[in-house]
Amino acid sequence: MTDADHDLVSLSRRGDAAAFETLVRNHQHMVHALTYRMTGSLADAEDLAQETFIRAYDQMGSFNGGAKFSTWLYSIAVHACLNWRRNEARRFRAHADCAGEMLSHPVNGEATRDGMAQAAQAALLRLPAKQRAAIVLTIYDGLNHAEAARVLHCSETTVSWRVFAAKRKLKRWLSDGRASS
Amino acid sequence: MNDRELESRLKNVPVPQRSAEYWNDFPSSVRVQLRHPVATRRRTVWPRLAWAGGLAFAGLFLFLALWPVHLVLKNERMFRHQLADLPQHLRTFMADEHGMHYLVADKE
Repeated sequence: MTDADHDLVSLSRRGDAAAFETLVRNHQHMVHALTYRMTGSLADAEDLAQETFIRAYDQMGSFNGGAKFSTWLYSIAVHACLNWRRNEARRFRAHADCAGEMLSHPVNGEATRDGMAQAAQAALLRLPAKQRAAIVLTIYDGLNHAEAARVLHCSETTVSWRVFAAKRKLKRWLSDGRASS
Repeated sequence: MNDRELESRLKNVPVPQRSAEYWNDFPSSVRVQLRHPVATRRRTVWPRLAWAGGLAFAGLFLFLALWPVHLVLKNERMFRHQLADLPQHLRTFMADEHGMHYLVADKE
């Protein structure tokens, strides 16, 4: 945790909402990016980002300062997304169907960069939520497997397995350019 | 496709940009919710009201269902007490649209 974060966390613990607002400002891009990659929806990403910061404020007392504040925040955000997945199973299926549809159009040599990015995003959304979380944390956010394990509250071996399984699926889907379960 | 190619392709997926105004307003919108946690309050108040309403209905139902039973038992206790004074008589309980009655007749 940076010194700045440390001070802001201390003030927030004492109920200083302005200090917490500064913490939100410092980490809002990171949290929005994570929730967007987990949901594929701007609106849901915004709701989950709000939920993440509100939970963080409520649970500020449980933050022990041993870990980085950003890692602690990642953990809250990821679990908010995983719970959202459980609560929104129907919507998840709709996203998966949409992702399958996007992948079913092969990316040919003339495909635009946007098209390839869309296909990659669609493939990401087709992954099981926990595997997607492992990919988002390790590839997009650059956490090593040990850090990701702390965020996901599981063992390092589990993270490694999830990353391995997810990569195998992504490679197959993106190479084929076709939806396959 | 190797790992490096996959990671490169995934990293090329952009996160949609939001306006500077959005980023400026977002922390305030979070702060407002900290002051007025409407959603939380809704989540905690409505279930309590639902439970209170349910319990009130259950209480009313039990009262309405058990009150006639209470009256019958009360009448029966009274009848038995009075009939105990007339051991040599034939007794019959009778219920009609006006409630419980008993008949007393001389034994032949």
